[in-house]
Amino acid sequence: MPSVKAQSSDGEIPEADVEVAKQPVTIKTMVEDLRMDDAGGNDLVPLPNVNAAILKQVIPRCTHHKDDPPPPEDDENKEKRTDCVSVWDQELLKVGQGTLFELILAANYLDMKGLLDVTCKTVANRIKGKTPEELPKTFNIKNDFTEEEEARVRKENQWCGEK
Amino acid sequence: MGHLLSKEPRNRPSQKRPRCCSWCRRRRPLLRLPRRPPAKAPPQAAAPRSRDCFFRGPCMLCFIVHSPGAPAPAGPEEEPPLSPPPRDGAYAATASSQHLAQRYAALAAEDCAAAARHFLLSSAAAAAAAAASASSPASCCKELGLAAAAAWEQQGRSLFLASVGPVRFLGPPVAVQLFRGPSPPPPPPPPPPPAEAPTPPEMVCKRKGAGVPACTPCKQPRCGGGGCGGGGGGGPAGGGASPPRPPDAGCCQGPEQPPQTLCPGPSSPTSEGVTTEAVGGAVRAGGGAPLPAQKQHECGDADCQEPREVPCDCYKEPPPETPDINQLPPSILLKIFSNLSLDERCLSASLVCKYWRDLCLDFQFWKQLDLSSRQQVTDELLEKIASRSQNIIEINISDCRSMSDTGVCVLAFKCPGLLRYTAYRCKQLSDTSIIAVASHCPLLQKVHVGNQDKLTDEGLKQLGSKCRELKDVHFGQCYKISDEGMIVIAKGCLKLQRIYMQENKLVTDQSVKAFAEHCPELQYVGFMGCSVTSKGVIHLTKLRNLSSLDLRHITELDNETVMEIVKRCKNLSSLNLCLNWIINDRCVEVIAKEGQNLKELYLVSCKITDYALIAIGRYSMTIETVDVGWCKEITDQGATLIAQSSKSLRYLGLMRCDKVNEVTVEQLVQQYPHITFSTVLQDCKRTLERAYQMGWTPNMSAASS
Repeated sequence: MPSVKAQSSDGEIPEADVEVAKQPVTIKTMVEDLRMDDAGGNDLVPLPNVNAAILKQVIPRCTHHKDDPPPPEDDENKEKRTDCVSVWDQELLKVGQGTLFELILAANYLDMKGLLDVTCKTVANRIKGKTPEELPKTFNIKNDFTEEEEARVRKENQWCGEK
Repeated sequence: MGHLLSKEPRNRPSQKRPRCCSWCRRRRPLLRLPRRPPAKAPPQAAAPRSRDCFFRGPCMLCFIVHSPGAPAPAGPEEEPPLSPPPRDGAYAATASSQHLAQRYAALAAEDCAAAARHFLLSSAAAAAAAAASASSPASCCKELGLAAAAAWEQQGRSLFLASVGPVRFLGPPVAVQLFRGPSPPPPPPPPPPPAEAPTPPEMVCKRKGAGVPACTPCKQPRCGGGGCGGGGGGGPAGGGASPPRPPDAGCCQGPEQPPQTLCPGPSSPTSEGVTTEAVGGAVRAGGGAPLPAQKQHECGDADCQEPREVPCDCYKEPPPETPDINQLPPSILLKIFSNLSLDERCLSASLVCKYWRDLCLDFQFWKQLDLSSRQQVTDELLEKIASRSQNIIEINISDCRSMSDTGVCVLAFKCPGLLRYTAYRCKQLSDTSIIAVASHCPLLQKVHVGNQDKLTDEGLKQLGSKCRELKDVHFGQCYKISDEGMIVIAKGCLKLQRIYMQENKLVTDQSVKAFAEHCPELQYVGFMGCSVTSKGVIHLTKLRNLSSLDLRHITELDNETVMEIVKRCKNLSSLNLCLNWIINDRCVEVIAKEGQNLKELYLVSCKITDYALIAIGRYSMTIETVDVGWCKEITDQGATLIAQSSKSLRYLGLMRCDKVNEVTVEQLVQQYPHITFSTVLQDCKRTLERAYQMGWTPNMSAASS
């Protein structure tokens, strides 16, 4: 099977076969625009925006999911469920925040909707269940509310809580 | 310095990709692993895979390059002093970066388009600046490409960042100046050793409100200059930095440089930082490496008129442990938040920081609202929410007792795009609310107002005449509704797909007939407990798309009618005949034989025996759910035989089939694990198991006295 080499920002060249590499739409666009699929296996797709460590995680995921049907368009009617992350993906995504965010950015850059959906769900799951006091610590965010502002937000959203 | 690329066309421009101008000959974007030294003679037959400039129109890079007075360079045909892969990679990066930039420009995202423009300009600026630093025309072009690549890499991250600040154009005069030579020419950095990268200096930018990620300025500097990727003008999301990478990532092939601050002071703009980095990185293999200090000063000088974006308040600080979630582009943060529930957004996320509060107010989270069961939902709140979004398309106010017709009217008035309206058990609402919804929301598709027992035919008439797009209606237990209103709906809403009625005693065969005649797209029909007989039901044979039929406990139903329906409506997949005592074994046999797509069959309290179960097992290939609860004549035999013979069965309801022994069922449960058996005992066991799983334990000590 013809293969495609992607050159990450730091120069490494993980190899993947063409069909797998076509999952990221960015690469697919490059490959098709530049008619790489009928070429020899000697062309490099430069990916200056993705480092090798992340690319090495993205490619196995592409391989694993290569036979998946394309993910559906975001359906407004469908309730967003965060419990439908496949076990395989869950394993892949047991990474630290830094790597997770890098994966998100890579998925965004490579236009991989499936991976982007799954990584965003994973982050959402890390937000769920935490109080507003815990969240800033978890995500290293500075709470820039003044007391009055925070009280105002609480009051405005009070209706949510009481059932 | 000068014109960096040969004026002579090397390759024929491809039809698909015209060259942007006669001067420009973009490098092929693809890297061919070097097979031989590129000692080709100039302009010849196009290499079969050559690609020209990706842009259709004049490209920014070319614009900058073609400044007057610039002599033509020797061109990239020359053997570069650097090892080929890095150079080609840089060129490849340049070209691909343009392509990608084009793509990003096409992405309408607010966080991309501006960033792409910015990137182009700064990479052009970087290229220009790089050219300025080169010591010879020959190396100029390499550096141009490398610098562009470096800038691209640095800027690349910034493409993902939000709200780029104002972008300033780098005009030709500046380029000319740069081409004519920099004021204090820095010593050109020595060619990079091909060895492992040294530890890059820490370059850190602190963006307002964001965390302080490190910028590793080497191969993939996340932080464009001090400005953290220049891409973030002032947007709250626009942190330039991405997660820091380990310094020994082997990326940086630049020469050793002492740690530098990228942004010497507030006068250094973000993109300048990028530029200077790029300049420094120009001679390095495809990467932006740390800059000689002089370069930075140069860029800070007055004669360097690179676009000044947001003044960067950069300090040298140790990088944090984790990257900041707030540096993800806002579109991605919104996507993450869309996976949270309304409560989680309003009660947790909104209180984290101002940025998150604002994100949670984004329109997309206020388009489809589930406010059900919240007793603090008042008319004022409804008005407030409606005023804020004004584009609500779906709302559920079931079980909200504290609001009234007024709130619903205001909501309807402010949200003319409403598509789906659900308000079960809002017994305080009357025709007023439904008429307001009908009048203001002509696009309405779904109206579920079950148990609003004040509703009358007047409301339905308005709906029927004004909401032609209705597809899905539920008027169960709206006891005042009669044929009069239903017929208006049937005649007016020709696109109906679902009707659900329940215990509407004033609804008769007339309504059934009207729906059968006027609404050919009906798929789900339910007239449970209505005053409907076989005379009305028989009309339903007209509905070829019928897939689910609920005829529980209607006034009268005969077997022949049911058989006819099953024969004609080939798409029928769910049939509910409960509490119609007349249904018999013969009918069920026909159903089993004729129901090509039937999956669910409910026969609670019908006059059937084991024979019906046996027939289902024998004749139906598709049935998955069968419920024969309270059918007194069912015995162990029927249950066993259907479990044995049906390949498709997954659920068998035997509730209060008193002749079936629980012991037998227990055996069947073991024998056929893929089937769920429902009896009194089995259901109790399941409930208990679930309770244990949820952490319940029986309280032995509590004595009931």
